[in-house]
Amino acid sequence: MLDILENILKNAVSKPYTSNYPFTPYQHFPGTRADVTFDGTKCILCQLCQRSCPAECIIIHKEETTIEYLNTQCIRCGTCVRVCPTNAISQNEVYTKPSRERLTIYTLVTNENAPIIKKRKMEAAKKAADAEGKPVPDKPEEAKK
Amino acid sequence: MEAKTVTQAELQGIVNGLKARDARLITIVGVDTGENIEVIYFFHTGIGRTENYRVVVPKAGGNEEIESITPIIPAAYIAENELCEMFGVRVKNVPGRFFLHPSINAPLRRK
Amino acid sequence: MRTSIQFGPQHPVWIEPLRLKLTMDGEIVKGVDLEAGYVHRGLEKKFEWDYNKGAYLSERVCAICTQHHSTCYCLAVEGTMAGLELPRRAAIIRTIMLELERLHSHFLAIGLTLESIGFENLFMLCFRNREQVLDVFERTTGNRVLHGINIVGGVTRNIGPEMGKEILDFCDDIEKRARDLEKMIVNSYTIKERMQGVGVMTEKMAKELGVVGPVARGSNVPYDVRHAAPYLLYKEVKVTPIVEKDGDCWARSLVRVREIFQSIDLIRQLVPLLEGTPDELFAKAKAMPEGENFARVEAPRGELFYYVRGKKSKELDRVKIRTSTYGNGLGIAPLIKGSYLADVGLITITFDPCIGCFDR
Repeated sequence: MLDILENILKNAVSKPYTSNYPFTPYQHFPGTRADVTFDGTKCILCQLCQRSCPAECIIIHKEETTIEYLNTQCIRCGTCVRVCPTNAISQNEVYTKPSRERLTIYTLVTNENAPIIKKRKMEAAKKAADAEGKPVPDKPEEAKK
Repeated sequence: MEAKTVTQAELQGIVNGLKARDARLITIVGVDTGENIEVIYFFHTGIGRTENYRVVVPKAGGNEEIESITPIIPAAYIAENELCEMFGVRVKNVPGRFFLHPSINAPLRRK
Repeated sequence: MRTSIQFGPQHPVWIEPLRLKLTMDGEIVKGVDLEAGYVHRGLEKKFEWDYNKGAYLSERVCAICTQHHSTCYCLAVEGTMAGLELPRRAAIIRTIMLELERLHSHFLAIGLTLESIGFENLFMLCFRNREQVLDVFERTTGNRVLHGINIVGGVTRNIGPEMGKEILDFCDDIEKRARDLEKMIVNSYTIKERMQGVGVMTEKMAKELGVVGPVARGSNVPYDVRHAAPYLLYKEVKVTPIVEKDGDCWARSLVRVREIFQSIDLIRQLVPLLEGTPDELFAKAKAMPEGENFARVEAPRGELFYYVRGKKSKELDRVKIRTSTYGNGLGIAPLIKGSYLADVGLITITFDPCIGCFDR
């Protein structure tokens, strides 16, 4: 009998155990997993993350040098973060809010050391050097040099 | 892992001996290896000891048939049911349908 | 005259869909027809892909025993690769995670049993204690369920010295809460009267039908894989099976309550073993999977068994999963026949069915 009286008094006085979630924000611990961001200045377009993703949500377009990331299909496992050779991928800690449409993110790659970008720059430099060395007659500006 | 290859007639005698020694059936696994279907039986016989037996069934274009061990060990009923449903190998006195719709036949068998 | 009642695919007592067709005569059940397959996803066919990605797929077979599924898959595949040895620190971390998983699963099972007899307040208290365990998971692995730290060759996240001290503080706190809960359940008159003598499984029936887990240990069959075929760190930290003799619903629930204290004791023995071990977390693979292997693990619901066969390439040849609820499936129908209609929900929920594991 005394046990139940003590329990009743304790429950009548204390605050509720739950927190009113949308008004007090959610406190997350450090190291929680959320979605992933790509750094365009470090990626070398090697496609290793595309081959090791279990959910198949990263698509690399080599000709347009963009990375397509399907955010709503990602399972937040962190395999791509471990596998990338230049540490271009990092994992956030705050979750994405629920929404009604699918979310796809495109990132442009601008790293000078990526093989495709290097090849294009070398070809453009070679073409400019060719055009400068041999002036073509129907182009009057270059005939001046 | 070692597994002894036996014929179907020998298996009945071995299972009777194991039941007398208080062994326990873990499960029955079917594997498709191209030309045959192998059926492997796993038994637990003591602390840290297991015994495995393998029966080879040559493929005959559907509807092969093997003997059942359910009269000796009733725990094998559910494992033999799944073997029959997924690989198309008929087992005596066991109906072969539990999970799948009647229009699907033997999905794990390779062509 | 007989009526037939559908204990249908959706029912508030179970978490997942399962269909029982009962033929009744008055209040007593005369015939049972079990139909499953509502959650069948065909996972055994999908497993024939890259063996690294298979670790993430095996977690998603069941959401309550995820760590056991991924550990069993990794143990089976590591046995087929020659020259791969698991580092000691990874083995200790895997064992600590397995025992934490058993804690949160038993709190859920006890809570659901109490809800099915109508005691909602204790069900809320069990889930409040379970939140503390899920907080520990979020601090160490990053997720509450579906952790994703097991890969073939080791683990990916470390438990440092401060985290180890926090786990020991958590053990003291949760032992106090579990003692309060045990006092309320074991010394109660109404719960005992409701659950004793209902759904009795004799010892002979338990041995013939091949049941596993707390269902077998509640009927005087001492079968526990941590004792019968030790794996990982259970060769150094000994476990004795907890056995009850009666075989009714009260005995099965009592086995689960006592196993909570056994798990807390095991975590307290395992965390001090982490100091002094070298810091290596996983080992790189040197060969492709070849040959066949099998592995067994004690999940909270019973014995879990994986069989793996490789064909010397990155893709696997055949993976077979035999879960614990699949092994207990033969025991449901004989127990329900002959009992009252009001007891059908209670008997099936003391089996602790996980239909995601049953159908795969």
